[in-house]
Amino acid sequence: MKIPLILQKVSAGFPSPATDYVQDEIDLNRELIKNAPATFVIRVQGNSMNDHKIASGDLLVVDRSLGLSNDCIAIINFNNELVVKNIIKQSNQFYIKSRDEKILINEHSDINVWGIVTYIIHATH
Amino acid sequence: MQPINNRIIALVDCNAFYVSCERLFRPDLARKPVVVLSNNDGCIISRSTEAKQIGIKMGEPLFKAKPLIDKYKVAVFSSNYELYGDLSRRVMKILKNFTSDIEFYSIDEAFLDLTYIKMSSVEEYIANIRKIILQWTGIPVSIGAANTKTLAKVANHIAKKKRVGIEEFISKDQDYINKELEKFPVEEVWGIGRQLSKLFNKSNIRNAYELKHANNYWVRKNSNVGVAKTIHELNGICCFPLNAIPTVRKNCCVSRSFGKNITDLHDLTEALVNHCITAAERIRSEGLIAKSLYVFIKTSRFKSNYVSRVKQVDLPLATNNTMELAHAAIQALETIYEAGYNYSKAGVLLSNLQPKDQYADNLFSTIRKPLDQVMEVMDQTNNRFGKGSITLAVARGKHQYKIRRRHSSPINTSYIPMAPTVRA
Repeated sequence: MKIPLILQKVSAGFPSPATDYVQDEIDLNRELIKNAPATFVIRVQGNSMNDHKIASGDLLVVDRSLGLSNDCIAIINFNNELVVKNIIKQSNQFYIKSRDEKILINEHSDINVWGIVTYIIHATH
Repeated sequence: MQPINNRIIALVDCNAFYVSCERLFRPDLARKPVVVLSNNDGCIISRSTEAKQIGIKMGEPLFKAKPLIDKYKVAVFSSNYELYGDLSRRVMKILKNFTSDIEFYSIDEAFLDLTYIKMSSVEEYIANIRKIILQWTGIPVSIGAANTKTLAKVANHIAKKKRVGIEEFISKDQDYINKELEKFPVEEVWGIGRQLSKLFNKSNIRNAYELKHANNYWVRKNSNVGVAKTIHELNGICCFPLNAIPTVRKNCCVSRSFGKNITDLHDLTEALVNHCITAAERIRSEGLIAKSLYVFIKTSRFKSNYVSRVKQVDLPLATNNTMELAHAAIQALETIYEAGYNYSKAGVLLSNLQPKDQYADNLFSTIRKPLDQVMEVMDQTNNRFGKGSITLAVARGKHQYKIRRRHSSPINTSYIPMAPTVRA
């Protein structure tokens, strides 16, 4: 004869005091993506942005609905290629800043902004 | 007197949508000729303006366009529907911010009803929609607005030719609209096919203006009710409302031409089972179950010995379970398969679809519950780890059936392992 095993937990004692504080689990999409239809996840190749804590292989959260601001990280269409750059603002002009040069961005330069990097996702292992 | 109603219908249409998607991460292709090919790299289904200008035709087979492609160094892409689907969803999501009254007409087109939107100027409003879609997604769209869908289509054609990408008939007078309709060939009017336009041309109706003023009695006698409605629409009377609620589909068909011909039953089975898996996934995601299933196989229509066979199976119990559907499909295939032919295409059609929650439980439903749970786990796993992570053993073979995607961009904006890259 088989004896059925009871799998159901039997509750006894006090109910957990934490049940009144139930929250949703953490949703990284909600934290990292403010504007979903305008946000893309893009992988970095190359180490020229190591000074800005961006390593090759990292994932960038890029929001296309944002505009440039001083000292932001942006994806730029530069010489017909998409590149990650640091952008600074000086006397009301935006510049691409790299170790040894500064390049002006305006409507005459053939440079346009693809999107603004809002988060860097870096694996530590 | 022209009868006028006061609806405001806008048609948003993505310009050369597939090409625009391919260009998003390739700024080097911005002003170059680009084309996108159909499944199996057969025909040209999307062209950039530059590709149109050098004379590449819509729907042209790749081999025919080859001399032009080589001469002008045209960039050629296989279709990447994962990428296009994701960008389409983004565009449609943005449109929902402007109105909830939307009909998603195709992957790259949507009608919006803006009648009840508070705005100072239609022109400014649609210009803003266009600007936001372009900035947020990188996809250029054209927007035409008018009192009816048919007129919005005409306005959209005009918008496509303008640099600003928008055109509206709402604030324009009848003279202006009539002049535009005069320039608009009758065969391009929405709902007028090639056959009907031949008939109209014979009766000296060559453009939309002449159709607008065609004799109503003559039209009804010589064509159909649909055309009479189209004429009303050209006159500004709305006859085609927005189908905002997507209709529940009755069928789901998955079929592909093979990368190369297949003769062996095993290989054919593998291809067919893969189609079953895709079709079953699709109907499960829509909460539907199928009551019957069709299997078909055919050889190339362009070769001698053309055969095309089809077998219908009525399922004992309506289902969306991959294993049950694949089992039924394999049995059906075995009854129609004949050795010695070079099969070029196989497909499965799930039909008599109905919502699962409307299907009455029966004696067997307790037996199938574990089977359905297997499907749930399978879908969740595949969503998380990529399509095909869990599949049926018969579906894992030599992949001879795999379609040709020789020129595919290796990018999927909704799947991190295939995320686009930038240089740093």
